[in-house]
Amino acid sequence: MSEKKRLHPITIVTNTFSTLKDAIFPIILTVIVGGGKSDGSFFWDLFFVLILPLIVMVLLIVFGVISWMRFNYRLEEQEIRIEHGVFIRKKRYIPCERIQSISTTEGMLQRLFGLVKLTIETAGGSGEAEAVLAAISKHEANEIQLYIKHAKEQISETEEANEDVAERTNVLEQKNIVFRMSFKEIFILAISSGGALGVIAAVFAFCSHFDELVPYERLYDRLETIVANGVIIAIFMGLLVILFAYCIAIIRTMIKYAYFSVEKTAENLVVSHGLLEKQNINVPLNRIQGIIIEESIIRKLFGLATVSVINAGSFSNEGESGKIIIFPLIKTNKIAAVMEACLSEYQIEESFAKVPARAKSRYILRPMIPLVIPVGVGIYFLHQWGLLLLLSFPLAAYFGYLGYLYAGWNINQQQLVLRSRFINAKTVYMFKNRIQSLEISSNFLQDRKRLGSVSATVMSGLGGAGGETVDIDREELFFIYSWYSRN
Amino acid sequence: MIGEPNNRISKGALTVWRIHGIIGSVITLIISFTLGTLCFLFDWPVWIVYGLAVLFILEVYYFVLFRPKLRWLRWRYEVREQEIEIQHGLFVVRKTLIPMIRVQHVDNTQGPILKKFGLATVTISTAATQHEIPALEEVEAEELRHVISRLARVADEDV
Repeated sequence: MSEKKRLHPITIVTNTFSTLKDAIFPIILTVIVGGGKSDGSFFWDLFFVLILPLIVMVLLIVFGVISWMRFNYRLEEQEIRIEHGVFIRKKRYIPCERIQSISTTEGMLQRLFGLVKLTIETAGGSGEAEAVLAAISKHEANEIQLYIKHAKEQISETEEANEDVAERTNVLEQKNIVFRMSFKEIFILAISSGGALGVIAAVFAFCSHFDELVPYERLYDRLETIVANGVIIAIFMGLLVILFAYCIAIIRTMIKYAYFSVEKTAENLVVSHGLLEKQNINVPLNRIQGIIIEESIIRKLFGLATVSVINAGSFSNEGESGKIIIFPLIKTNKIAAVMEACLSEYQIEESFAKVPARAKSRYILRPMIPLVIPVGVGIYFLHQWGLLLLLSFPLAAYFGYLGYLYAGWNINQQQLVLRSRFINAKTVYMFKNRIQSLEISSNFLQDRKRLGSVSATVMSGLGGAGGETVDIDREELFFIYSWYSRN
Repeated sequence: MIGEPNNRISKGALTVWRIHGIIGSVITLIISFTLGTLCFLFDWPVWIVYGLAVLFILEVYYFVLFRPKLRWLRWRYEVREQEIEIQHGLFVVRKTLIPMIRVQHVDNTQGPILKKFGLATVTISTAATQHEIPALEEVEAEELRHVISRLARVADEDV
């Protein structure tokens, strides 16, 4: 499989469109500005409105075709070799054994032609994927994945190089789905997700942009007469906007996580989801650095949690790089059973060593301290109304108390678990041989109470990821430290 | 109870940090003088001048005397066969363990001031974190770099 291959010609269309998307504003601008400046002669009008955009379009398409023609890839000597570039020719060779994860996505256009987009990630973290094959057939994608897998095996265990087609099909059949989400669960996921807030912010940002376009002042004048003292209507409208934004967020999350399933193959965890754009993420089992169980405040009320794996590559399906969500929503008490089926080396713990009672006051005070200045300023400027801000103190204290109840740690042979909570709870599972470095710290106030904090870092896409627990008993802290020490 | 790491960093670090402190203070002094002159010229309230003076004295005390001393006292490190241990911090004392097998590479860096005093900083990188041992004697830093990279190569385990 060493002949040079091109991507599906559909890439020309997608590439051209994506450059067009970037160039559309300059083009429109030239049309408007140019058209306005012309002296009224028919030729110049025609030139600016029709011919110039046409020339740009043709150039873009030609450029698209050439860049498609220049892009080729081949599989050779256990490497993926990609050559591309119109003006400057670039070559990129990626050794298969360096590849951290492969993922495939099916956009709408790709679906129409039965194609996929293949993304290849290595550990080197510039944040971007090392290689993207924008449109190849599903069969081809499969071949590449098999080739990479095969190359990796050959490198790691040369003597077993004689296994062939039989083994390949065997591997393919060894799939089993370990996690799936029902429509109802996806709905619950959507309504309890924080993404709703993001959409609301976006709507507000959008509205504020309209300031310049809509003559608000004139509208307001008229409104004043109509509504007179209708503050209620304004509030109602605001609520409506928020509700609408929330609905959009729900729909977006549902589309994104539709058909969510996690499959376990011999060496990979395959996470796939998406309604319009189908995404398949391959996470090699031996690249998983740890797992994170997150319980947001709303979900925790219902005993629900989100589970992610920390991946050595920088790919991510949401948010932080290197963090891949494997169970977006799962009953906390079911995690152990499902993990047993897919990542059985991790022992999901039920009981944790808690932080000592003398840490309680610290936990309760800590979230209150940063509030002192803002609340003080608030009271100074708002007078009586500002006093309402004082209510934030008991709230902060309560969150602190929840954190105190939740915080803890656990060591089970080679496995370290650290958990902490401020509003949202986070529990991180890590193995000793995955932890890159471990740190204990204490300030003089902690010293007085014989307390200290611990944090452990594992490798993830960009920089590290990890867990921490604050205000552990000193002796326990030293126990964790010497557990990690090889001395 | 666990002990402290064995080695201290070079005494020269004290001098270097103090120089850093002095440079910062001189900048403050220049700004203060400018503001002070403006105060006289434009009849601004006098307390600004007093405030600046107090600020300057505090800065000199903290950055030139107090901080370098405490920082130096706290700084300790030890390189063992299997791991590196670092302890540092002013108000929050941090102790870090880095296993040899996790070390990806070691760098020595030397700014102009460090170079003047024959000192160098050693930076130890793992796949996820970076750790710095500041202001070691040049020879020591060089040696440390060699030792760490040799030990790191010996210790071999899958990441």
